[in-house]
Amino acid sequence: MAFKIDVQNLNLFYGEKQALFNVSLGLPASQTTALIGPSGCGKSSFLRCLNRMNDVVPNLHLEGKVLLDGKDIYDPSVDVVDLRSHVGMVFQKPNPFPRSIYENVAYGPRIHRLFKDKSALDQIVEKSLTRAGLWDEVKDRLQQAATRLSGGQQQRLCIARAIAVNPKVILMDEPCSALDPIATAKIEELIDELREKFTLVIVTHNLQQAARISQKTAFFHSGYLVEAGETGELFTTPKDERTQGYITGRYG
Amino acid sequence: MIQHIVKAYDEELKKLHDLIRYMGELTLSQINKAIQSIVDRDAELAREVISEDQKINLLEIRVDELATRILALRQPVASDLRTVIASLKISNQVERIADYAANIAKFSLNLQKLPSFEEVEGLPILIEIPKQMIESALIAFEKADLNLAIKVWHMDSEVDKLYKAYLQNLFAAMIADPKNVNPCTQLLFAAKNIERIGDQSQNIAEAVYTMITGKPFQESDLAKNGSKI
Amino acid sequence: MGLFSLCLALLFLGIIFGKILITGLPAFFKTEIEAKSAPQHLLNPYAQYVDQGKWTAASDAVDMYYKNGYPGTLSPQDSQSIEALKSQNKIRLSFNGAFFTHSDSSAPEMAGIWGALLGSLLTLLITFLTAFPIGIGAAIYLEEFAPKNSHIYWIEATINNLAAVPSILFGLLGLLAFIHFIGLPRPSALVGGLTLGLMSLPVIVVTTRASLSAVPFALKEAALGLGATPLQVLFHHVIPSALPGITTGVILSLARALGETAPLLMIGMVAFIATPPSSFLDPATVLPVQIFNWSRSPEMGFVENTSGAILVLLLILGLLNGLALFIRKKFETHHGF
Repeated sequence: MAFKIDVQNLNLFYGEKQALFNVSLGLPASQTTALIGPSGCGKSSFLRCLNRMNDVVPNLHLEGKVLLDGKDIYDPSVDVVDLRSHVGMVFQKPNPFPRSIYENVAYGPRIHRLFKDKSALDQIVEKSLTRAGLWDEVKDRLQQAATRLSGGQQQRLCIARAIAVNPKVILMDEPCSALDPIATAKIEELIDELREKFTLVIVTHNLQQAARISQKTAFFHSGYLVEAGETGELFTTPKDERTQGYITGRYG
Repeated sequence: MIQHIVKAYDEELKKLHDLIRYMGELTLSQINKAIQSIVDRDAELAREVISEDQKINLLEIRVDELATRILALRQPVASDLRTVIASLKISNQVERIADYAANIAKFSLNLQKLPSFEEVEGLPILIEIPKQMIESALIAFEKADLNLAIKVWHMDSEVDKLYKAYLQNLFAAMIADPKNVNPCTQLLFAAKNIERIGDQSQNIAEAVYTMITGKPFQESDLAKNGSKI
Repeated sequence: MGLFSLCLALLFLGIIFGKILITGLPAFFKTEIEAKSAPQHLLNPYAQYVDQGKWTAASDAVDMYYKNGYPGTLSPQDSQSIEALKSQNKIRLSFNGAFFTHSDSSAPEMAGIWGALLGSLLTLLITFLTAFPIGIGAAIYLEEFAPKNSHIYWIEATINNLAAVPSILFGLLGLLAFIHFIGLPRPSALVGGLTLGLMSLPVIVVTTRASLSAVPFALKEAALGLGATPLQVLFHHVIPSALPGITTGVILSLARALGETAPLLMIGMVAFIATPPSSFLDPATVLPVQIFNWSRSPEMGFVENTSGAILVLLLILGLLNGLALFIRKKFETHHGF
């Protein structure tokens, strides 16, 4: 099975401090990969390497390769702005722009000039909102302020916004941690549906969620990738003692 | 293995082990008493065994409830999950063994209505290995001892051999004198139950194997890793 | 305890404002006598050239007597004549439009604030054009783009300190830089505006930076994550979000500049200017300075002029502050972070 993103020997440094130690991980296409591990283990740092959001951090230094469809995204010839239209991101706390629902979804296509005319843009907005499971709820109020939606709706809007630029990969950093259980369930269902067209990588603190939604799980600890494997296997028969300790709550 | 961060979780798992150990002790005692009641022709003891069986049934229900509760509330994974699933299987198997002991006690009562018969002396010998199997299998469960579990698994073949030999004796006695048919039949059933006790103990060993390795038990795996024996 | 001090403060303010109101309101009215009902010496000397209608403007002394009962230079007969006119309803108060349309004059009844208003307007315009682009540009650079090293740190500290420097020192700076060094005409609106612009610059930089840094990082992250360039993030998201704060800061800075007197005195806007300025380079004065000048005049008439001008100034400041508040309120509810 092909890896949509193939990370090879990644070493990440914040100034003198090393945050990731020789991490090699393949993220399979059209699947959801969950990244788990205790706080400060480097899973979020790792995630942010995949769309170069780490670039804004001062004194950042990176070794190794991150191959998206075979091409290293850290190659000097790569345009970061373009990269981010192929690798989208959804954050922990929903952060819609303080604009209308329509404008939120339309922003990405606008700045990347992905449409010819207004009706094409309308279609993109409708398709994205439909895919995110939000169209029926907002189709009559597209011009309303996005901030008036509920938390769960806002997060789905952020997902629609990310989808609108038709990325290959969607990264999610604890997307449900600010949401109630029902909103969470809706997003988990959405993640399952999105797998058909996109590759997803999700950082989560919630082990049960990782078990529910992912096909592959990677366990990080203190900057090392301890174990990665098929989710069912990792949760019934983990190979590494540390993985076992973490997922059973025997973590000292 | 180090403790859970949440102590209550550890306590619940320990309770599961305790319940099963207690079931095992009671069951062994039942077996001993049942065989004893045959040899000593003690009707009182036999009746005691039959009524005590209820205790073990109740214990099995408690194990079921506790295991279900742990599954619902703790969402165990990995080793904890395998432990809980093994507990459910093993408690079920121990309860069945206790049922076999109660059956033996019933045959004891039947035998006491008949004149004494010397072939009953074979039963204490026959029960010896199954008793060891039960004890060792439950220790293997308690200590997660894979080698012990495999050892127990192999012991069943010995039980089968002894059982067949005893059957031969019984058939010979029946052929020799038709009057022996009645008592021999009872002894036959009793021996069959003992043989089944051996089988169930082997099942317990298999459950322990799966709990430790995470794989379903397959005889071919044993043959491959000869060093495991 | 807090409530008591509050009441005390409000009482204090109320008394002062009341006093100004009482002294100043009459400035908006002038005394008029029915034409040809009174002897010449009771009329305004310039009135004959100006007033054609039924009513003619009274002289300064009559004006003071009618409004305040203060005889001043009037003779007892004059006082009696005025009383007579009162009973005949041939003397009245009418709206003193001249107060708003005339420039300064040595005669208090002819003096108006127009020249000062125009001067203030032109000065503020220059202040705005100087401080706004430079201030906002510097703030954006420092907040969003400048590297975080010790040089930048010192620049930031200096700007913060400059915001607290007494305004009169900026007047000194303006005198040296614009008038002596560059040789711009004093005391023009241009020089005044540049000086006040320099004064407002640090404050605008500080408030703009505060508004920019108040923009939540999550918003920038969202835009970056979609593939926006740093400039797009700035212009599409950060600045619109910070705009209410920036606008408020600018308006309040301008309000402050409107009321500044000391630096403008330093650059010489204290002179008596009788004609309103027609360009940025003409000599001009501003409203606070006008108030200052009038307050030093001995004539009674200028007392009410001073207070009247203060009322106008307070009104304008009140409107500006109200505008700032309105903008803040409007955008708070609209965005609702």
